Amino acid sequence: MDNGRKRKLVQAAAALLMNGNLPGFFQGRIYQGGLKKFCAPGLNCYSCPGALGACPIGSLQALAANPRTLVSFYVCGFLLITGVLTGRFLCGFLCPFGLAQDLLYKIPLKKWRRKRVFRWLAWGKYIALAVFVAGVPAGLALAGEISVPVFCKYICPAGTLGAGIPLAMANESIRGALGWLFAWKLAVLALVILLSMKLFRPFCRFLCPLGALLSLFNRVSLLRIKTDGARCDSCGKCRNACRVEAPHPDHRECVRCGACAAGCPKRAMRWSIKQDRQKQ
Amino acid sequence: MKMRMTQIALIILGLACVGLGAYRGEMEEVMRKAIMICLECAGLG
Repeated sequence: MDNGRKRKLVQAAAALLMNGNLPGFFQGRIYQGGLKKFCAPGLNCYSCPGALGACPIGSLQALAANPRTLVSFYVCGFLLITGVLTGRFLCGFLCPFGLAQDLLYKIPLKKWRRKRVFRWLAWGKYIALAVFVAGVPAGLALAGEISVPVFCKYICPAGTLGAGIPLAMANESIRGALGWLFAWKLAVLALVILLSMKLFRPFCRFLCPLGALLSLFNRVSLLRIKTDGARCDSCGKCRNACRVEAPHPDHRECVRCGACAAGCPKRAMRWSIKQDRQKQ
Repeated sequence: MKMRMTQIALIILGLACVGLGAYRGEMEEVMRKAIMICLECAGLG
């Protein structure tokens, strides 16, 4: 089985495990059991009827609303551990919204690749993290105002896809309460869907605050894609295979999808947790 | 070796943060938020 298929299977299994409360989709109700204490390893809205865990980005904003827990040790600790263990492997293999974008990218259309503007847009996710996830919710809480989870409220298309749409479909009272905000969020989701058909993972690359946080650990994570210098002949096929246009697998933009390793004709790249010096 | 030590130190720091957060009741806070339908996430307001 090739890397792409294996990855799809892992992604599907992860999406199913994170959203195992399947009756919730028909009842229009969310899971309320004890697992919701734990953060899910991906951008998976806790208001999705199937969600068994809590979205780390939603949790960060929820805790920032309280001046006592302005910076959540629990969520930051969780992200620190997962980041150091795997880097953005979560993005490539576990995140359900990443899977949705991957499937959309399979639609056979002419793709946009290697545009200089993408490099600039990639900073957008750090701005989203600093302003919408941390800055505004914490600022409002410190100012004594009612805090708003700005990212979830105005941007997060994973929330619209995973929570807004299924809840509106199955729950009549929610359907009756929809207004301009839902229309705005649907427009954001539609834009992300359209872009996902033309370029690989636009949300992960340009907007995702979880990806921004995990990207900080790509250089130090335990699980890495290593290059065997003795086998590598610098043909550049790994760089061409990379759909997020990362210059090497330790780069912050790498979502650890493994396309570079699969595209290497010399099999010089491999997943590893061993420490060794390597040629990039 | 230096990298391995950094990784171990960061994981210990992460575990300490999770422990401190749990001690401060953050897990319950997360749970309280996560078991209610988030109106903002769903696009209701």
